[in-house]
Amino acid sequence: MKKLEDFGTVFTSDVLVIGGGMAGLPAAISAKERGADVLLVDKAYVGLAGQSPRGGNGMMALPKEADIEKYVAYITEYTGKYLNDQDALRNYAKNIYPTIVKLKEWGVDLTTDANGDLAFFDNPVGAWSQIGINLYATDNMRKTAEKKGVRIQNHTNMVALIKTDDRVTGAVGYDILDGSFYIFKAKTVVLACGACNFRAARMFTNSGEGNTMALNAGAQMRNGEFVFMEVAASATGETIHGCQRYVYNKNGENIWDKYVHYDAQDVSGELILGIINEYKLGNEPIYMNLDEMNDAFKVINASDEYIDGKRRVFPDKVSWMKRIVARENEVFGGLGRKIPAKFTLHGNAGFIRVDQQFRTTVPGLYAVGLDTGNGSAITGAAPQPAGQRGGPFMYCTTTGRIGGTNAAAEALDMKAIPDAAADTVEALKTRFFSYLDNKDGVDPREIITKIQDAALPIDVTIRKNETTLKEALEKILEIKEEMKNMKAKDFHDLKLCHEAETMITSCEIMIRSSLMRKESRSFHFREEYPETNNKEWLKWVIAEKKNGEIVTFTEDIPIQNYKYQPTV
Amino acid sequence: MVRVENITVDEEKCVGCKQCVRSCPVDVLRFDEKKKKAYAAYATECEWCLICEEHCPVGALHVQPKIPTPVFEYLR
Repeated sequence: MKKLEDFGTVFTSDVLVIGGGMAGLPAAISAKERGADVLLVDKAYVGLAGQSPRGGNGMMALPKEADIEKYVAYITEYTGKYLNDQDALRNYAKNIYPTIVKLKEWGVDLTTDANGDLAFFDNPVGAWSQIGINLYATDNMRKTAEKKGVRIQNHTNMVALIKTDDRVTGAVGYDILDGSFYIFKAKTVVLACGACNFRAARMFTNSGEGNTMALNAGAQMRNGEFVFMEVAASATGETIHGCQRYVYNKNGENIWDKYVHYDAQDVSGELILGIINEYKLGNEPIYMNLDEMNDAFKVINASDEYIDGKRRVFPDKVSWMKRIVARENEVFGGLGRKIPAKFTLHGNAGFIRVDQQFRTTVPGLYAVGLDTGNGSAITGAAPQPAGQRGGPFMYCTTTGRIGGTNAAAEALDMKAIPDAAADTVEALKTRFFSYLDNKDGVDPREIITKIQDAALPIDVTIRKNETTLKEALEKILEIKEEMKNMKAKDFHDLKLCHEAETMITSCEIMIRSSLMRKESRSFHFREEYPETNNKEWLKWVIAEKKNGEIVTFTEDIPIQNYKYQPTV
Repeated sequence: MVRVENITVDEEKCVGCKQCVRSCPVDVLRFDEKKKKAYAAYATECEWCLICEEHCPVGALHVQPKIPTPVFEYLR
């Protein structure tokens, strides 16, 4: 009789958290605080892994006295455009302030006043506030997690969830340094892998492991047709955060004023589609003019360390920004004040469908953070928590805290961990290590470039039509065939092979969902159906795997049960 | 997807603390157990976030970016 131990080292915990960034750490700490034994796994090093230690600017926030309902109404009407799960959005909003309090307790540096109390910055627009947060917030949380007894397993790339009957009972992965195979048994599993960015925008490196592991375990995906874009400097490929209001065409017309007709704070579908329209009108070059920025927007752009005597930008961030700017100056003389601009796919495509408790549609499996940025429907038709500067930070920490707590509660109610079948684990090990046997195959880097070529053109990601989408899908399916012959010369390359797999899966969900939605809304524009159609399309596009294929269907949004309904 | 020209580790300066290795989210930097020094094992995947430089206590690392970023070819 085969045992799990025959195929690798077996780890056991109540809760397994996959991904140790801005969502995984709050999930792990919260689960531990709830009383569970917690194991946290990351392919890099927890504390500096993930995207947030390359951000660390400001965080969207709701102070204690904030008008929650005003926020819910705004996000539903303007950002989510009625594709929100309004109940989940309200529950999320209520949990924001308690999460900020927790972050402070967990050792994260946040803006405080002279008395040491949490202090917030008002926004020029929107129904929410901002709070400053330090760059290495996740490293603060790592220390807290270790102190509280969360076990951490680094440089471990997770490849698949394992199930006993219909329930997820763990996951498998391998050490990217020495190739040791690991089997993790857990009563509940929390995915916190930070969604998929297709390695498009610089420094946004997550590649869709959560989407893929959940899909392969039978979980549903939701809102896959929406992916987030950002305005970026043409020269560096780097997003210039917070400059969306100061984008101009060659005639000096402000693009935002021309196309965004509501009181918005951050990048929206209207802005990006507006820039594309300017391309079509021949109004290039498009550029950002930093000299036009007004004082009110400095709150969210944070060029000053202090605003009104309150620390807006923390020293770790200041030090890092100085280094980046110095290097830019050294290499090409810096960006200057008038910056030629394009936009880039930011991705943050996290499709995993979750309910208010952050349970997926598969028993035993939870997902939090950007992995659910689309799938939770909290922000509706805006992928990731768009429209709010620093929104993803808040989203990750708050959803991590809720999901981690619930995963622990469920695990503590369960008695024994039923083992997954050893045969299944053996088959997974064979399948995921098979690229190591290929000596003459194709380099995964080449495959990733091909995926980018197929998935990143603007007529696939935002301004789409049936022809461009079908062509892209055809390319993707061809690459999928070619990928079977990838080669890995070591375990680092093996990780790249698996990242290529998770990227292409995320890409296929995006394209198939886009084909399904025959209307335009937010970041999804269909040239044949340019209007928003509230009569027929107050629906979610759901994707799931059936007989090895990704299939899509629609589900009516229970709009009659929600507080806010569109007037047209 | 190549965004850097090169990454250099000054072996004279490197104290072998592994902080740069821990700070890399994409596994570009590795540690040579024989030499007890960090090295750029997979430089082509670097995104020049420069967090490794920030974490090096002795300034032994230097990342040289490659400009412009080729990914922009996908936008048009």
